Amino acid sequence: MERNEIEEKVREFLIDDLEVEEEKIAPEALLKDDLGIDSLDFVDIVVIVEKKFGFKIKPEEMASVKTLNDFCDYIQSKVA
Amino acid sequence: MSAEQEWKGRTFGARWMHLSLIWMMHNLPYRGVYLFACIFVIPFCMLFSHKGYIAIYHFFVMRRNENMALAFWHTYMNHCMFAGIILDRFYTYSGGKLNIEVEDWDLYHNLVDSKDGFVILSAHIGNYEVAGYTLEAESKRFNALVYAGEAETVMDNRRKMFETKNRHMIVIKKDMSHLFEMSNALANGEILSLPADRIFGSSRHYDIDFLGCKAKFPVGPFAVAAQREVAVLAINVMKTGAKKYRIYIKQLQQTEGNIKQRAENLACQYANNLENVVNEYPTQWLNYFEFWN
Repeated sequence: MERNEIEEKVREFLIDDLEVEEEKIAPEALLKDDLGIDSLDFVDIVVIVEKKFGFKIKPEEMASVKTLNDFCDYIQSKVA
Repeated sequence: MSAEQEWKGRTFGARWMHLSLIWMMHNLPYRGVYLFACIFVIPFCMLFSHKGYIAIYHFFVMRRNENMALAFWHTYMNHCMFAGIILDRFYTYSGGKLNIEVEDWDLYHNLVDSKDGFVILSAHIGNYEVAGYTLEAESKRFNALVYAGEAETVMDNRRKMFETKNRHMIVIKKDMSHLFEMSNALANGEILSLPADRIFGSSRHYDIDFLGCKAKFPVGPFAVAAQREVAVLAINVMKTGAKKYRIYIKQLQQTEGNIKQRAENLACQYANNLENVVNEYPTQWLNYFEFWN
């Protein structure tokens, strides 16, 4: 899966499913502080990623994921 | 959000008190212990535990529009009912059997027989703990979300009751890892049982019209059900007599929309169903804090 395809899918579910405001979405946006993603949203993300990208996120692997860019890197590493 | 609105979930009393109660339920006549509690213990509790007493009194005055005398009487009756429910709980711990009727038993069994997981939502009304020990689910693991700070005696006895029947306790943790455990349980086609009237872990909540005023309901239980798009049952276990209970099972509908919209819709349906049950059994409303905003 191409990088831009991953970014588009992530952007899509952040807006449609997690109701994140579109203007807040930027590569360097911090998931928690800028996008307001909390632990409950994170469980949403686990389920959505499972459906859209076909792999299961392990919470411990997400420890170093801080920004949206990190998150897309993580997905890319899994679907490559 | 006030501290009272966060879930403490701890049964009142020290370990020796719980053990004495189990001993009493095993060795003394049930009705004798119950009468003793109603005549001597409850007036004492109402006198010295103002917060719980006032919250229930407000419930009868403001939510049920009762006059002061009736509200006071119903507050006393509510405490007697609570005593009966606690005694029944310890009666089961001491090996006693309760008389239980179940409405819509087929609804539950059909879900147990399907390959998918499902969610059971409960509230602090009646004696939901009885459902945890009654609803058989040998083909599916039954996961119950419990508060880690619960009294040791209660946790020990819950473990004993749970270990025999393919049951598992998911303990609420500060790092929120219980959310993943809950989601995974549903993904594995298991049953997940959790309270839907207390805010725990995450402070996110919905303000929903409930008995004529806005009340806070937690987002978590509804979000977990919406994420996995599984069936959701609201189960209430109501005391109908001495050692007698009736289990009411109602299925909530998953609607269209994104996860957040579906979760909120489930919460509204749940509050509506709970309202009907509270109206039918007002003296079994056991949230001893100011529930409404």
